[in-house]
Amino acid sequence: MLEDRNRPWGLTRLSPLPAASPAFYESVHLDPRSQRAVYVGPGGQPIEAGKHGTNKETKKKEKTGSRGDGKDPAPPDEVEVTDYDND
Amino acid sequence: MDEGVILVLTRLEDSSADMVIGHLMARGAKVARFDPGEDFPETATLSCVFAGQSSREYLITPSRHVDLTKVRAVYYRRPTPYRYDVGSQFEQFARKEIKFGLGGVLASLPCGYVSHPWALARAEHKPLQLRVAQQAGFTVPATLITNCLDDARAFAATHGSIIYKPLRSAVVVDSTGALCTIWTSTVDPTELDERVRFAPHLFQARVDKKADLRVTVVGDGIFCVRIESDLLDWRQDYSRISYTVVAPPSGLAEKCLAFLETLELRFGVFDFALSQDGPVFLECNPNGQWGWIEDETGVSISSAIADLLLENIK
Repeated sequence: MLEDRNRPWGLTRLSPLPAASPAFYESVHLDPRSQRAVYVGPGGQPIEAGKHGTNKETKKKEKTGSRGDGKDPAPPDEVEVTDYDND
Repeated sequence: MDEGVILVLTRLEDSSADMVIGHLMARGAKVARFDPGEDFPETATLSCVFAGQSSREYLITPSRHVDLTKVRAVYYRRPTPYRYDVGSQFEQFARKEIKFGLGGVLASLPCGYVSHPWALARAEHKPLQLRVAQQAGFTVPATLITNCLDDARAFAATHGSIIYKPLRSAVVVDSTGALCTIWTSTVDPTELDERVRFAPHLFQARVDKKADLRVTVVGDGIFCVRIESDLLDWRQDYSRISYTVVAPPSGLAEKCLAFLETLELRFGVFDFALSQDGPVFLECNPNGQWGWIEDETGVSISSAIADLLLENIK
């Protein structure tokens, strides 16, 4: 973060992101066969995408301008230009 | 015949990639998914021999053994960034070697990419986009990029209502720990001050719009969705949006394709403001999000991306 005195004017426009919806899963892993992510809910039950109305919830995290699709609060963007994470 | 694998580079929690992979598998394609910034080196191995005619190149992921000489296409989605600016000097060295070694191999495979990471990186720059958009024939709002306060004030005086948006969308943690961002917003010129000096700022004449268009281009396919929202920047509140699939306005598809061709992209998500006189180019997101658009409207973007990856793209 820049020192206060060097803070660009653009930062006067900061506004809070809407609160993230709580994660609907407890863990996630890659299914070796399908190469798709498997989301595991409370109690260890896999959540089938679309079958519990939760697919949309994961999609929510991929709307443009959202905080990225992980739970990591680190700035998702501009670590370097070839590795960007925004829309 | 061994048709080779489609290599999908993305993070684990990428449900849009899941959708594309589902279509690829359903069409009988072989898929290897890998997150280079996360899986390597702990659970992945890379080895490449460059020696005359013989080339032996492989990548072992936690669940696949990939012959890199036979990759059919690469789908570059949202891999975890290679972060080489953290840790000790020695860690930074290792991470840089990963970026330039592993990342270098993954960016130089003799196959097609949707889209190539270096093309994506270039296309993320708004000044370049504005130039290419004008060449492609789009209507582009008068735009000023400056760190000169007087120029910003003069621009506002010339154009009346102006907006500010960052050159790169940003998420900042404020002093209370809350995640913040900067939406596109109108600027009252009296609010401008000398802090404009500390970075280039992008100001643009405000487009008097009746709606927005979100246009997703996959290869030659175009998915045009009209977005109605009472907000200047619709991303601010998705619950206030209504979506309608519409035919692209006349000439738009050709301009989008010309824009993407210039930037060597096979995919792009364009944002337009729909004015009385037609669509006005706001920006192109070269690796933009589309999963929620498919959910909301039923347009089959994921299937089109799978088709594109299975074509013999070069």
